[in-house]
Amino acid sequence: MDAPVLYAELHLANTQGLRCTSPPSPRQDACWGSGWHRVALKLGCVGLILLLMGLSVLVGFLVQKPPIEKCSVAVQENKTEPTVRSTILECPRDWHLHWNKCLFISQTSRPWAEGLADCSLRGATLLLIGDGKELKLLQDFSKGKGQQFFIGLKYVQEDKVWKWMNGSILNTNLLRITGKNEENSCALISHTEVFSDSCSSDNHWICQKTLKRV
Amino acid sequence: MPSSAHLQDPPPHLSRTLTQDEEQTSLRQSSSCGPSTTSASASESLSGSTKSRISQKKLLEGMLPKIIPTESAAKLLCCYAVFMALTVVVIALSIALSVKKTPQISAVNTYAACQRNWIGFGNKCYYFNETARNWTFSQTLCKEQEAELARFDNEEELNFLKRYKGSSGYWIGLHRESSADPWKWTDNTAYNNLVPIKGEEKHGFLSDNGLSSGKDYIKRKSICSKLNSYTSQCP
Repeated sequence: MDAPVLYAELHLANTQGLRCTSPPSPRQDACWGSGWHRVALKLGCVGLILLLMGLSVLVGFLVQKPPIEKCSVAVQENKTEPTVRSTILECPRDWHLHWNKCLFISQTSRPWAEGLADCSLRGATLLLIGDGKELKLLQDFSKGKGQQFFIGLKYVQEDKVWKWMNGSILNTNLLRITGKNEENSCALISHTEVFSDSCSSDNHWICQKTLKRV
Repeated sequence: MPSSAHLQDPPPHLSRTLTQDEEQTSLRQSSSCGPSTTSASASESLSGSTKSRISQKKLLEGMLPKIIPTESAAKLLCCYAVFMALTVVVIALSIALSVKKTPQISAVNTYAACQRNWIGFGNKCYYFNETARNWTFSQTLCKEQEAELARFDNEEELNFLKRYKGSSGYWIGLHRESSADPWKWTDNTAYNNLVPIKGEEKHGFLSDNGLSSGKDYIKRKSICSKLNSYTSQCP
């Protein structure tokens, strides 16, 4: 009976020993693992914060648009006046009814002589102005076009007078010529006055033809 | 005598058992009811509980290292994924910004130096005056803006001016003393006769038919030009 009792005592002692050894080992493992994980997590957080800061900076640069002053100039408007037509009096296509005449405005600039030739080809002549009312209307017309135009008035050196293309002499009470009265001078009508320009200069011109009843 | 001897034997056993229990644990003290049977059952129960405890501890020891690495591995993978994603985004944005900045810089070089309402072409800035004035007054207006009546140095610049101006005639910076003299710019440098100037007058203008000349008192629109100083500083 004594022998079994002694065996039991030995077993208990062994059990207590196991208890003493088992607790520290998992604790050590846990400590080691948790320490490493904490360090890794901290580093991860720091890295994430840095990346987010970089991201926000880059997005800011991307969104911010440097202001560039845009050069914009208003495009010149070409105003075309509507053609006035009636069943009785009618002008050809591309001509303007004006008073009792049909007027054609050239689309290009040329010396006076070439304008004269062009009008002849169209069965017309360079513009002749008969009175003050017509002059005023034509100057308003010129203002609307923003241009100036050769007309059928030229200085004749021999006679020292301005003559219309129909041969009549300019009535200086009708209109005054601004500029020099010299050879090779032709009249150029603007919205304010009539100039004496060089006949060799490039300018637009106005043709006229008498209105015919249809 | 033998019967008396038998009766005397149990008491010493009981006394021994009690002393052992007291010395070791209180559980044995509580289990002092039955003599031999009680002691046997007590030892058996103790050993069983001890074994179960040992097994549980072993299981825990086995579980802990398995569980912790798994969770940490998952977390780490998530962290790595987020890191990679953010890194890729940052790199992409850097590339996008570097690409976009280049044309912006060139655009600035091209346009930034010309003032508002002036048009840059080549190394010059141009301004188109839409009000008709005589040649001298047009030049004065240009000078007030630190410029001159327009100058072109090559065919590209001339073609630009022609294309931009439309159908009206515009004064430019060409002039001469008489119809027999050579043409000059407003700074008195010689004109290179790039394009012949028609007409017999002394002041040049740009018509829709090329270069022409007229009397200086005729009122025309005009073009001013000046060097684009920004570009000239950084050739």
